[in-house]
Amino acid sequence: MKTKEPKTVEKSSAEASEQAKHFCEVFQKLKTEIQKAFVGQDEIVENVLSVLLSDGHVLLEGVPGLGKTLLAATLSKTLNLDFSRIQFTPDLMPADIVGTMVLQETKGGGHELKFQEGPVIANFVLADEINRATPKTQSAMLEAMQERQVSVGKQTIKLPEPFIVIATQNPVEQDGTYPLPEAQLDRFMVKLTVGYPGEDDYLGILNRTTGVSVSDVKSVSTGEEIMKMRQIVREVPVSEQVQRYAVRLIMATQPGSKYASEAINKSVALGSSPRGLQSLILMGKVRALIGGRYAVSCQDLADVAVPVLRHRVMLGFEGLSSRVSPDELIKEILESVEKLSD
Amino acid sequence: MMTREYPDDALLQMESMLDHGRKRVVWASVVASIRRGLGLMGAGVLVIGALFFFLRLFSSWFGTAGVCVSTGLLLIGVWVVGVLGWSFLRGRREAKAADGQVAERLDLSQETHNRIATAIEFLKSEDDSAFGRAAIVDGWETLEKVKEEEPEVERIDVGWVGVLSKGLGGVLLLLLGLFFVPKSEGDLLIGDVEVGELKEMISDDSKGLNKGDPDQEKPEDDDGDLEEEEPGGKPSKSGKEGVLSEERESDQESKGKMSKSTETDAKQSQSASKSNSGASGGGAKSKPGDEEPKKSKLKKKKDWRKYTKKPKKPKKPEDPKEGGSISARGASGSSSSQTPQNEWTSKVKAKADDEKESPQDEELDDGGEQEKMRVGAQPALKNRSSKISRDLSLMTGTDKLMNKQNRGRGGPGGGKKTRGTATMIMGVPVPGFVKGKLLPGPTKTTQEESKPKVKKGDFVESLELPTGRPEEDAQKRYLPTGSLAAQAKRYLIEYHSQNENQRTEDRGEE
Repeated sequence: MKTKEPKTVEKSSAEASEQAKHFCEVFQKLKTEIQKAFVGQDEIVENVLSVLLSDGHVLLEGVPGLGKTLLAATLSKTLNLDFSRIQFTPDLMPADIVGTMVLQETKGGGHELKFQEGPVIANFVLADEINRATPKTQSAMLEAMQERQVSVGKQTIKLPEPFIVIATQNPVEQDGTYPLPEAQLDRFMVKLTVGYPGEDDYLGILNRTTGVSVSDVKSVSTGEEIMKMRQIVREVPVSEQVQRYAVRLIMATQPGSKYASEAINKSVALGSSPRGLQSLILMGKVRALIGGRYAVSCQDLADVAVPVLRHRVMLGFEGLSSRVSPDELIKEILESVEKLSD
Repeated sequence: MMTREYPDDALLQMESMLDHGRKRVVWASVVASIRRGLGLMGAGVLVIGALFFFLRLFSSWFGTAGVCVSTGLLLIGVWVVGVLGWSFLRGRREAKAADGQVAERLDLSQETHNRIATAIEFLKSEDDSAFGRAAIVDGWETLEKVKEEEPEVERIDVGWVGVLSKGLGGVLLLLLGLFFVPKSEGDLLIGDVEVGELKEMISDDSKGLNKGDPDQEKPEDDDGDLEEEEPGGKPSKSGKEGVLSEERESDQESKGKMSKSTETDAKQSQSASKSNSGASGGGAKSKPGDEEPKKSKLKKKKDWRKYTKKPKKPKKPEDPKEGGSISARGASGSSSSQTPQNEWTSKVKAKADDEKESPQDEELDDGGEQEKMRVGAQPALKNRSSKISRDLSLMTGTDKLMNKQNRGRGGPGGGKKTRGTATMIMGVPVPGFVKGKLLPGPTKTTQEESKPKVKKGDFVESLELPTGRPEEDAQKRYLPTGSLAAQAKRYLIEYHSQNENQRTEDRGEE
């Protein structure tokens, strides 16, 4: 099988510089456009865009009414892509998500089975309250996320690109829910905690949503451009020093490793997997490009460590009983792990 | 090949730009190592000084051999040299490591996001990607701006106050232990004795060796000696020892307190060591007027000797006097003259010997428990159950029940146990199934194809009635036949005849 030679060999550093500059511009345009409808929460918007450009999925955790659906819908509008919302309930079946074969009448009077697409076949999928669905339905959804295709009967349908799932969870109502297991949580690139807006943001929300004027969100980019930007992200190099730092960060979350602190050994049952390392590096690359740099730095990794690792650090009994927060543990790791190479 | 935006010797140029920072970083790492060593040094001196002080104190309280000042000084010296050497070696290692971290440290101090270190690394690895080259150019430009700045260095706060106070504290404790803690009688401070005095003591002791001192050979005689402490006791033995003590007194008066204590201790130790081999005091220096102080000194000396004699070897447990009992040994009278240490060791050894050999103890009657403890628990053979039957022949349930030794071997049995709550109630027979009901499980219906067969017997023959009009057939069917028809005819004729007569009469009347 003939392998393709990478195109980057032909590029000069000036071209790379141009590409990086263009990347930053598109990113800023998207962010500005989204913030016309979604007030405040700059970090959330930045992280969601970073995940989109890193080809990952997002898990949003927040109480109802904070604009999670609005964010996903606005993002799809800015990119002029398909958006679908799935409200997960305990009686939702996998066929309700991926689609099913339905019997339809043909013109000749006969009948034929035709595939009816499910709501997952869209560019932007908002999986609302994913923890309310049964494990079977959750696994169907997560399989679609991982494989980027759905199989129904003999038919296999590839999901459109770019494809991103924004799943939400309600942290308050845990009765009657099916918490996502660790293996499934690992598939989300980041977990973002949506908090209440600030005082000024409340005023902005009031002005934009309760008055006569309606926020007009325009399309500033396309799906193809997003795919090109994803390719640019992949081209950003990482030095060995930064790679080792990332590895040390991941190992520091694993109890029993030589970089794990006493608090980690005491409170954590399960640390991050290699998938966490991949997510950390990809998010770091986007961070570097946004910062106008051409290579990833240790500070970029430190900036994205908390959202990338917070759902991959599983607390043990002692950690849960002591009410230790994974965010605090990760911040402690960031302070203790040495940035300098050996 | 694409032309690069930086010269071919970019790596060398960047390394030379880092020279200023390199010197700073290397020097800082060496200083940090030395500072770390100084901190340890102070703590070490304090610990050694405290150890020296408490050991001296302990020896003076309990009269055991203490530590001499030379040992303390030697330890301190070794510690200081060791720490300095370790600091030097560590400093060299850290300096070497720091040399390779100059760029990273500069990035950290100037918050340049690893641009410089990344550029140098990509130059070394010859990264030919577009973004790699862009990163090199970016790093070069950044280094040109910040090359005169100071890189991030490790700063170790020595805490001079702490170090000095610890060091001084250690030295102070050393001096306190040396000069202010009273010396124990067993303190072998040989170095503090002057050579001249030492020679005199040796010559005196050698005279005593020639004469021989029977007192020193038998420790039991010490008790006898103690009894001789009363005034007017035997002068022969006490005289010699009294002379020695007299010497000590005279020396003390002449030489001053500090030297006195050391010299008297030295002399005491010398006299103690020599007294065992048969020391004798110098007769020339004895004074008759000093018998009482001599005797008091003698007593003191005797007590001291008791504790400085070599420990006696404990007697073997086979010895009938000793046996396995500790109290038995005390009766022999040898323990009282032994040092406490000897008594203890002999006791311990005797006990250990008892455990090894496990003799029959006359005093302890524990019913074999001691034997068990010594030898180990043995199973009681009489309680052992019989061998398990390995007979694999078929047996019925009754046989199984009766055969208590059967441990489940013997093949399938007949009677099975019934289980369930009802079986727990005595006398309630619970059948395995209820009659009249289908057993659980799927039901199966089968259909049989069978034709009816004619059965021969006394049956009424059936009439074959011809087919025809129904009315006629019915008439014909119900018409009587034979005798019944004649009887019916006669009846009908009579009936009609009676009815006809009646009608005629009625007509006649009309």
